[in-house]
Amino acid sequence: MIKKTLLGAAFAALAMGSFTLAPQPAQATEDNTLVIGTMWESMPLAMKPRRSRFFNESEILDTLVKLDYDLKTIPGLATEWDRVSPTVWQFKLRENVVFHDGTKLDAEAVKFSLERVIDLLPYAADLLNIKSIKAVSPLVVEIENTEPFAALPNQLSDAITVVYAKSSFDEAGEFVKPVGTGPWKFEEYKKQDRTIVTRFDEYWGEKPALEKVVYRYIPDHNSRTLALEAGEIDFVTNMLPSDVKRLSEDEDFKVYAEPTSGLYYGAFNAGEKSVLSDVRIRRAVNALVDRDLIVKGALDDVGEPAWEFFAPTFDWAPQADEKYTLDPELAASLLSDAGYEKTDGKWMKDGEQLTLRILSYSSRTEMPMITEAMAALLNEQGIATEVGMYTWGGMLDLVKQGEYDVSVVFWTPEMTGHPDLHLKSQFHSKAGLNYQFWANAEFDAAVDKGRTLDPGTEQVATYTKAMNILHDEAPIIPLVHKVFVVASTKDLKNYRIHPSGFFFDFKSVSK
Amino acid sequence: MQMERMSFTGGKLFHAGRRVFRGYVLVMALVILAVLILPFFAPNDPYKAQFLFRLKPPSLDYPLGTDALGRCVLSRLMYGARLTTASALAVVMAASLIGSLIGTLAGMVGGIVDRAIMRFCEGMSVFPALAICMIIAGTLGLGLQAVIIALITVHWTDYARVVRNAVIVERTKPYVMAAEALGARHHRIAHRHIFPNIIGPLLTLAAYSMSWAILAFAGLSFLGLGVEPGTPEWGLMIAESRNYLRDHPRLVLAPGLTIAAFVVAVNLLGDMLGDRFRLRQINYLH
Repeated sequence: MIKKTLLGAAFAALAMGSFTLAPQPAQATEDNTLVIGTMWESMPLAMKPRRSRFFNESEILDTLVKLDYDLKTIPGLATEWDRVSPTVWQFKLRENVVFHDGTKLDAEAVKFSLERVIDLLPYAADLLNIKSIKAVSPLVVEIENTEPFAALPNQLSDAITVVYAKSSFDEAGEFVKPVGTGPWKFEEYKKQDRTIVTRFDEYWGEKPALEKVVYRYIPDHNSRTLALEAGEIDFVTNMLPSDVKRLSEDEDFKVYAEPTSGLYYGAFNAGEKSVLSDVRIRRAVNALVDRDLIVKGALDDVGEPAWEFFAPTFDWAPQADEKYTLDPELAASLLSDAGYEKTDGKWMKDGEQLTLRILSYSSRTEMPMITEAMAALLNEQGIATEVGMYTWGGMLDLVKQGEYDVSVVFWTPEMTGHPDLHLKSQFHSKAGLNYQFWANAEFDAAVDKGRTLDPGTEQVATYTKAMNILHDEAPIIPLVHKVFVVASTKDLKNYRIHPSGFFFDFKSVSK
Repeated sequence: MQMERMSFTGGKLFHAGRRVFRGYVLVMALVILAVLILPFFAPNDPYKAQFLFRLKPPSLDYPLGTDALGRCVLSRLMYGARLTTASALAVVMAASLIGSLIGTLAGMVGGIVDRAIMRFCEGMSVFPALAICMIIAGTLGLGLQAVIIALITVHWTDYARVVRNAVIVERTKPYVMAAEALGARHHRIAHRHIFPNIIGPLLTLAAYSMSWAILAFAGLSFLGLGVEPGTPEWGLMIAESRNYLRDHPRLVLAPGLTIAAFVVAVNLLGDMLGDRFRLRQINYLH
């Protein structure tokens, strides 16, 4: 009998795979409530997941500096800021701001919060580069950096720097729950199900039109869009490309699509355990993959082909003097230089075909599709591939050990409106997240210098130099620039996609 | 019939077993042959992605259309048949060999050995087999071998139980007692008298477990264990096409129905063998 049950179970798993998380019976959402379906779980009771982005994107908490719809810095909790000396910044705080627990926001509170963040989140110190924080007067915070640091206001727009009230932490200084100054306050959290925030009436800015936002966690991509179509949710993120097409043709729904911060790229293992330690092969791979076909084939045209690191949509982002191009002849000469010979359409050396171990993770919808498309294109060009799909953690384990050639990942390098964030945290030889075993002293120097410079010709020149090295040394293969797509019911008004990709801005949304 | 069976020292049944055994081997040989040469009839290269020819409906060149990367669905199904069948066969053969040896040991030796082995097998069957497979395969790392080892680890207990029960039933029969009375050794009794008589239930179980292995294998691939992405494997094909379920249901239906048809066919074979050996009367399988 056990066997029968097993057969049944396996069958059910196969046949019903995509429906196992099917939505509950349809129910219309209330007028003053916005229900959104998310791919990631919105976890309000921990700081670390996804670098506390949920607190910022949901606006439970505010950052000192915010970014407008052109990714230019605008006042957040700080109304103005000044560089009083090369290493010292002063931030003037907004008056009459209260936390959700009724306490007032002042310089001491900001100091406390930033110090907690640096203590609790390992990447914060690297990002903020802070030597000391001082409360100069009740509404003026002075931040001293370890070196001249022009990027600070931009870095202070990163979600991990949100300002927490003291009551967010317990007596030992451990995080308990988010108490902030944002337009929404944290109300309820049901594990693996939903997070609810409600309107905070003493908010310092424009008051939200709605009373409540419910973040429903629906990890299955089919189910999430189905929930929207069933009227169970009002808003859905991270849709499948095929759903984008269908919903755009349906009058009952609105589809929003804008280029945002975000790059899908293959990170090369430049270490000794990989054939890609040879820069000629890295450049050859870059010249062999047709990004247009990846966007078309894997993403149904939802995305921009990436031939450079920063998306050209952002005019402040530095670019290398050259872009990658599809150039099989260049690739052929590079591979021949590296000792490979093309026989029977295969690139061979010492009787073995050039083979790349490609890793990626499957929790993000598009990853398997992009990875497989890239592998197929390489195969077509005579390079063999071994593709492995893991969880994010599983992939990272292999990557840290150097047991890979290419790991296909997604990062948001333009998120803070400043080039420093990603160049420093991913490619600098001392960066905590640099698992590519790629180190270039000149690049390090340029990036270290770039963050100290005010916007201007010198900063542009410095970053252009860094980008040129990145282009020539090719530690990555850029694949696709993100186009952020969400959909809502047709009644939803005033929603706009924020280009950081991590900011919902539901304040003005109504329905 | 029962009388007749008892009146021979297993001889007649031995021959009956042999006949069916031959038929079975013939069928299996044909299946394997068919499956092995199936890829040669595939109309297209199952790995070749054509981005400008994706999600096309069935046509003469692509009888089942193309998938999301523009690969021929029919060719992928045909290549997948070989992979799935070969893996399932490996699982069934290894599990039946290990299970039979351990089951015979338990049945012949009895006592504490029997009890220990049987309690262990029961312990294994308490847990959902697929879940254990996932844990084992997850620990061993990804790859085809990991999944095959995991399935064998879970599956041999079924054989051990059946064989042990069959051995105990057979041991009480007069022909075995006669052999024992004549002073035959344990291993000779097992080899010459008991084993030929339990080959029937064993083969029947093998047929059923073949279908179990195919389903489990496809299920695990569906969940992302086993073969690497892009390999033509039925379970993986379903998983990869899942995102296109609403607009292109054929992509999921093709491998889904193929699995269903294949499993039904193997089960029918099992039923046929079961009828032949009158297993419902003997009831070894439960």
